[in-house]
Amino acid sequence: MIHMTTADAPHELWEGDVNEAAIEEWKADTTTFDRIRHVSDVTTKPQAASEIAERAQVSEPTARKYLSILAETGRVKVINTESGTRYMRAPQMLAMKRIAAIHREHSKSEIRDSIRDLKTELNSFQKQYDVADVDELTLELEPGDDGWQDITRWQQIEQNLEIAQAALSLYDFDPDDSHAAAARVADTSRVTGSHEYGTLSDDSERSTA
Amino acid sequence: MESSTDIEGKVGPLDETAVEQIRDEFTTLDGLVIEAGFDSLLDPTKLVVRLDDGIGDAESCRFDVRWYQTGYYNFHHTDEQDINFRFDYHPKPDAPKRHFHNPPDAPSEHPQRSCITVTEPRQVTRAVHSLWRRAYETNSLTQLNEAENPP
Repeated sequence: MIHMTTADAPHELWEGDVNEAAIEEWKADTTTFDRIRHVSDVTTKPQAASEIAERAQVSEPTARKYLSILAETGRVKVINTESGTRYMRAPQMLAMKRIAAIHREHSKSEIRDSIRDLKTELNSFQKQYDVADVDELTLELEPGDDGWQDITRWQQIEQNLEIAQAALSLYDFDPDDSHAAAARVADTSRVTGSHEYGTLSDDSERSTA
Repeated sequence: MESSTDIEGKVGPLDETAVEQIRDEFTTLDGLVIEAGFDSLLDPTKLVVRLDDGIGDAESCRFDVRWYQTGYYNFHHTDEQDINFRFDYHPKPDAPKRHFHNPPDAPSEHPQRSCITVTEPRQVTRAVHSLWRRAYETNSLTQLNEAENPP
């Protein structure tokens, strides 16, 4: 989970406004496709191609072209409305990335332990506030109240629980027997002995640490 | 000091994808970054970024970063000299949503307006890093929330 880096340090400070410099340097270090991907990956509400284009600092036709490509690969969700096409990130992209990361680093029993701990914490919130779910508590709070940290935590627990439960269910999901296939074509011992990992872990992203 | 988020309104759960972008951005921006990762994969609550040097006498420092699905965020700096400051964006009564908690203590009350106005995770990370980097190179905490360079 900890990623080592070998990048060299840039020492030049910016000139002018730090916000303008942040945008200009991001543009200089990326392609137009990178920027559409960066922006669409954090788009949590439907937006028009023109809005995404503006955020990504690309032209609208370029945005439209790349958003279609990302939609085809399942990374972006397309929503057709009366006022035109809207785009947002696809939930399956988020879920699969997280499940793959968990399969890469955690055993089945670690996932089970985590599910148990998260459920215990959830139950203690329900008892503490005497409400059935987090939405009920949200309605009771005013801005500035204590308790907003707990709402954030509660929502986080629910989301982590769903992901952990899905990661556990899919731990051995391998209809094409890809593990055996990988062991046949690769001559590394790690692949053949990899039953400690979940089947959705992606070797290309495994940390080498 | 324990990492405090100072949340006083609805921010929603952590956005792991945004946090991954921030991790990748930090690691490519500065060779002083020696570690950058989630505190946990099964129950992620924050990104921890460790740097191998710090401002002034500090020999290392750390950013604890949270980015929420609403687009709100906390970037919290701390080091072994106990210098704390935070660039935040979230609802807070009697304060601008985008605000800066001053060093050395980053008190919760009366934060200033933040000089960071960009909104994408990678852009905000670049701005926070630039502002930190200037403080590091000039050995000074006084200009941390000053957008113009030279000020």
